Amino acid sequence: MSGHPMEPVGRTGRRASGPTRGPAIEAVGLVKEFERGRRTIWQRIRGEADQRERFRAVDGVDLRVERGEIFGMLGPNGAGKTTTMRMLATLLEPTAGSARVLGIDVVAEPREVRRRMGAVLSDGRSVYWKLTARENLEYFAALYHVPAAESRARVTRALETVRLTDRADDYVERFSTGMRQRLVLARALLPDPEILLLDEPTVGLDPQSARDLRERVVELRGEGRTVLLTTHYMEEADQLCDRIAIVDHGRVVALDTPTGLKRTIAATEVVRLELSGGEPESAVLDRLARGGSIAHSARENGALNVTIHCRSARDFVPAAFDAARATGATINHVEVVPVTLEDVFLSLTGRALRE
Amino acid sequence: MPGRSALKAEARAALAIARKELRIAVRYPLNAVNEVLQPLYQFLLPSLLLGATFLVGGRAIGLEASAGTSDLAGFLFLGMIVGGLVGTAFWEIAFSFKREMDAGTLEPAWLTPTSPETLVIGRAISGLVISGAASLVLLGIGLFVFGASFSPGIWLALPALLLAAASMIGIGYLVASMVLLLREPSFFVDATNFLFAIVSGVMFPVVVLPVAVRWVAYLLPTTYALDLLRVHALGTRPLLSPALEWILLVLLALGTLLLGRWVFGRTEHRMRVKGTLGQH
Repeated sequence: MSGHPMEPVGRTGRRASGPTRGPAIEAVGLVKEFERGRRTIWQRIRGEADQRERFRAVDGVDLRVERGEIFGMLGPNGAGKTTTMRMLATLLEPTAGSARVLGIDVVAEPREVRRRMGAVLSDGRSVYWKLTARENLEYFAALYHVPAAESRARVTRALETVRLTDRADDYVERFSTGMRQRLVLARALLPDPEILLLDEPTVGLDPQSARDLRERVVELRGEGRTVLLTTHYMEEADQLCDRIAIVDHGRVVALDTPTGLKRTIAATEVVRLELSGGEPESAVLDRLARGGSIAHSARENGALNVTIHCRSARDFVPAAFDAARATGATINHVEVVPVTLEDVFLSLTGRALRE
Repeated sequence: MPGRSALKAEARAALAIARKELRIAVRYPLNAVNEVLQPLYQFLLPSLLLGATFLVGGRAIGLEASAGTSDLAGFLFLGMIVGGLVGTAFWEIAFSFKREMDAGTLEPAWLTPTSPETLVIGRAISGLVISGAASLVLLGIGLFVFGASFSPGIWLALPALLLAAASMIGIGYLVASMVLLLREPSFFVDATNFLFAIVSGVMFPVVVLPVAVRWVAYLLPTTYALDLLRVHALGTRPLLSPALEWILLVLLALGTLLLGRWVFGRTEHRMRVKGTLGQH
């Protein structure tokens, strides 16, 4: 369909690969269990019972990622996002459940999946520092089985896509963190993949490099590729993703578009208050709850921090001052912000994303 | 069964791995020179000097009695060739997985369609190139500096070296499996490499080993490869009949290759179940 192997062909114009034109990724009841603790060789030799605790890092994840969308998995560290990603990337075998990428089973045909997928699963160190950017990509092009005749053009195109052409022949050891991360993205593009898995792609990057990488990701969707990314940055998920799965404790707790998710908390604004005094605390919260829904409250350095979801801050804030006065409390600080995915997460789990 | 184009792609990948390893090696030139000369100053010179103190009339009488040659320099330099092959299996093939894990570059390679076995083969190619170059340098030093002399029949032992190289790929698979399973494999690799070389008779004749250890030597393909090399190059007394040694060498080379591949495959599966590939 496309003359150039990585030529942008539009979101619906990419050539079909894989057995079907079904979803890009489909996971059903995906489970991954790990063991906590160690079992020593001595314990094994003596035949002692395995007493290690088993825990589920991923606990029955169902996902359906459509072709050509940027799909985000949002959740705090340890939620199970990376483990899910590693199973889809064929680096981990699921304990139970199944996953198909472009219709191909990740357990039965892992190499076939890898042939069609690009992945950025680790940080920018994962390139050879004593090779140039071009040498790195030529090496990985061979590992991706890019035909020799196409390799040079594919490498050049990947370097262009991530804006590294002018530094192609510099040793990677002279690159900034952001440039190394872009090179890692270029590596993931070498197989001309229909699907890209990006695990926390902007972690550790400065704001400019992070913005730059996000722009590249949006361009990749423009080329018709499917992007599955994990992040714990809600702004990133909000800005980039067509749909988002909120993940907590190994489960998908909500899945919708960013707007749809925000709509679930039945509020248009979020008011954050810092109060002092006003005993008992429950009385203060009861009064505040009359004007909105208390999403979160916590004592910190003697002050009571309360997050309230409400329909109109203009109506709620004066009522909050009345409520404080009535219970002997003082409002020290008021902040009004629009509803974000952080608030959605808070309302779903009772915890903040960064806790 | 992979098709012809798949095999071609795997061969290209193996060569790319070897080229990458060699490229990085030459970008640390002092390190590369050290790789070649280390056996000389760490093992050969001390052994030669120690051996020289026991020479009688310039002849290594004890060596002659136990191995059938009094050419100590020739005996040791040939030992170092096989020692280099052993070192290739343990350090260049197996331990390089640890280096890649530490650098975070192993996981991206595992994410490609290239077979994990090819990752071993690629390293074996670069390791054998380095080991071959080092052996030629050492042989040159042995011939021109230390007066070692070899019979023209040394070429007859070339197939033995090739079989030893093949068996070292098998050993490389096995040791790489341990490297991938152990969090800190340096001690394991160092100790087993040393013992493997010693028991193969790199530094002294196998017949001087204690009987129990000698039986271990009889299970190692390198023992026969080195023995055949010395038989053809120095006219030493063979451990067993040469015909039997050739047969055993072929069988052991094949056995280590098959066993190594099987164990490596099992290890790769175990790592995918445990999720330990990215850990170090």
